[in-house]
Amino acid sequence: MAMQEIVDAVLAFDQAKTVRLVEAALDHGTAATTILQDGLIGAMDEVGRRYSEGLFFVPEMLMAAEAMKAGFGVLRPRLSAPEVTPAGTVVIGTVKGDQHDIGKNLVAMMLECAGFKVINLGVDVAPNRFIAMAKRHDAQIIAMSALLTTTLPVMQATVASVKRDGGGFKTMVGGAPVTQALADKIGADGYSPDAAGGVTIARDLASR
Amino acid sequence: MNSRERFRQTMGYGKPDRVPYFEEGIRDDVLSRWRAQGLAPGADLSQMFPSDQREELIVDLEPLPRPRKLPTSSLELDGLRRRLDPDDPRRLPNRWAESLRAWKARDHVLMLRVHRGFFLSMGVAEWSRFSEVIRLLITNPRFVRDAMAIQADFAARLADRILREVEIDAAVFTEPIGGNDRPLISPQMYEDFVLASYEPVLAVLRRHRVETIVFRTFANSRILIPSVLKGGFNCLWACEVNVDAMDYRDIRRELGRHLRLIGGIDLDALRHGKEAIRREIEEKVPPLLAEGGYVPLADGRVREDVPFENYVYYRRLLEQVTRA
Repeated sequence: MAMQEIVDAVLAFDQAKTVRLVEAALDHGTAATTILQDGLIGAMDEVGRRYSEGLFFVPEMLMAAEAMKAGFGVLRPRLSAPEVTPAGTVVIGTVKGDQHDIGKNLVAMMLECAGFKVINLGVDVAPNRFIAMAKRHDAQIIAMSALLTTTLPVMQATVASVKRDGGGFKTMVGGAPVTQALADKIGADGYSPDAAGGVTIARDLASR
Repeated sequence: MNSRERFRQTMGYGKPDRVPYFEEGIRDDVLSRWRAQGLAPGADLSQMFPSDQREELIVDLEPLPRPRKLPTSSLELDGLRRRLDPDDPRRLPNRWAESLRAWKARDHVLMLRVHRGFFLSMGVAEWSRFSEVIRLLITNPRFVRDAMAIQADFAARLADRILREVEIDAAVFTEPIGGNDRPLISPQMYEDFVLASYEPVLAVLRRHRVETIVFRTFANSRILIPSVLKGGFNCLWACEVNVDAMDYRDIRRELGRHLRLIGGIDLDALRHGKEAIRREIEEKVPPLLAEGGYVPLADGRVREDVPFENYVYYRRLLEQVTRA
C-alpha cells in the first residue's frame, strides 16, 4: 500500500480513514516503522510545510495532528521498543508568572506528532522545575513559552539557570513577545515564531 | 476644540487643532514604580501632558448567568440564547441613568465596546475550550455559525438599546485572534464564520450613524485587515503587535485612507530608550499624520518595564512632532 494514501488521509483530517489505512497497511505486511515514518510523520512534515507556506492555519494543523495521533494509536502496539525510541525528549512549559497555554500546547502537539516525547509541565513553571523534570526524563531540550512582556525576564532567568546548571540541556523559546533577537540576547539555543517551525528547531537541537 | 470634537475631526479627515492624545492605560503598580523614579506623589499624568479623555462604555456581553458547560452542539444553543438577553438590566453599567445625563453634555470621547470577537464569544479562555472550538470549525461549522449568529443578534439588539439613549463617538469590536506570525484562522474562515456574523451589529451601527467602527486586534492579524475593511469596519487599532508585520505605513499604502488608524507606535521602543523612541516616532508618525485619520498611540498598555524617564520623553516628543 502506498504511504501517500495515509498522508492524504491525515491531510484530509480524516481520523477514521487514517486508522483504516494504517490497519490495512499492517495487514499487508508493511513494516510499522515505515508506516510511522513515511505515512504519519511524513504527513505531519507536509502539515508543517503547508503551515509555513500560509496554506494551513491552526485548525488545519490541529485536525491533522489528531488524525495522525489516531493512526499512531493503532501502530504503537506493533512497534518494538527500539522502534518507538523518540526523536528526542522535550520538557515544555510556560514560564513562571505566565498563565498562557495555547501557543505552548500547539508546540507540544506538533512535537509529539513529529515523534518527540513531550513532558508538558503546564503553566507558571519555575526554572528549577524545568531543570528537575528535564533530568528526571533524561530530556535533551527544555522549551519555554511566554506571552507577557513582563515575564520575559523570567524566561531569561530560566535560560540562565539551565546554562548554569550544566546539565547540557538545549533551550528553545517562543511566544508572542519573543523574537529571534531576544532569543539570541538571552542565550537561548533555538527560537521559532510558530509551532510548525518549532519542530525543525527541535530536530536540529536534538541532533547536536 | 474639546477632546470629542478633536477625535471626530481627526477620524473624519477634518481640521483638528491637533491630534488627540490618549493615555495608554497605566496601572497603579506602574505609577508606584514611577514614583520611585521621579514621578511626584499625587501627580496626575493627564495634567502633566496634554491629554484627551477617552471613556469606554463597557456592557456585559457574557452569557448571564454564566453557563457551567459551554455549548458544543446545536441542541445546546437555546440555552445560550436565553442567557444572552439584551434587555437584562445587568448588561448595563451601574448608575446608568446618571451616566446618560452626564454623557449628553460631555466633551470627551465615548466608545462603545460592542462585541468581544470570535474566541471570547465562543467561550475560549484556555486550551481545552480553544481546541474544542478549533475542532468545531471543521467538524461542525453549522454550529459555529449558529452560535456566532446568536451572539451577533444579541450584540446588535443591545447596541440598539444603548444607541437609542446615547450618541457615541466610536464602536469597538475587540478581536484577539492574532498569533505570533499570523491570525489563528485563515482569512477565508474569518470571513465565513466571523465577519459574516457581524453584519447585524454593523447594520445597527450604520442605522445610528456611528461614524467610526473600530477593529481592535492583538498580535499579528495583518492578513485579515483587507477583509475587515471590506466587511464594513473603517478603523484599525492594533495592539501588542509584531511591528514589522503591522506597520501602519504599509497598511495605509496598501489599503488607503478609508481605514482610520489608532496606535502604531511600538511600545518596545519605550522600553529600549530615547534613541529608539525618537526613531520610532519621527519615522512613523509624520507620514501618517500628513494623511490624517490617525491617532498616534503606543500599541499597548504601558507596563512596569518602561522607565518613567522614557515615558516622559515619549509624551513630550509625540507632542512636539504632532504639533510641528
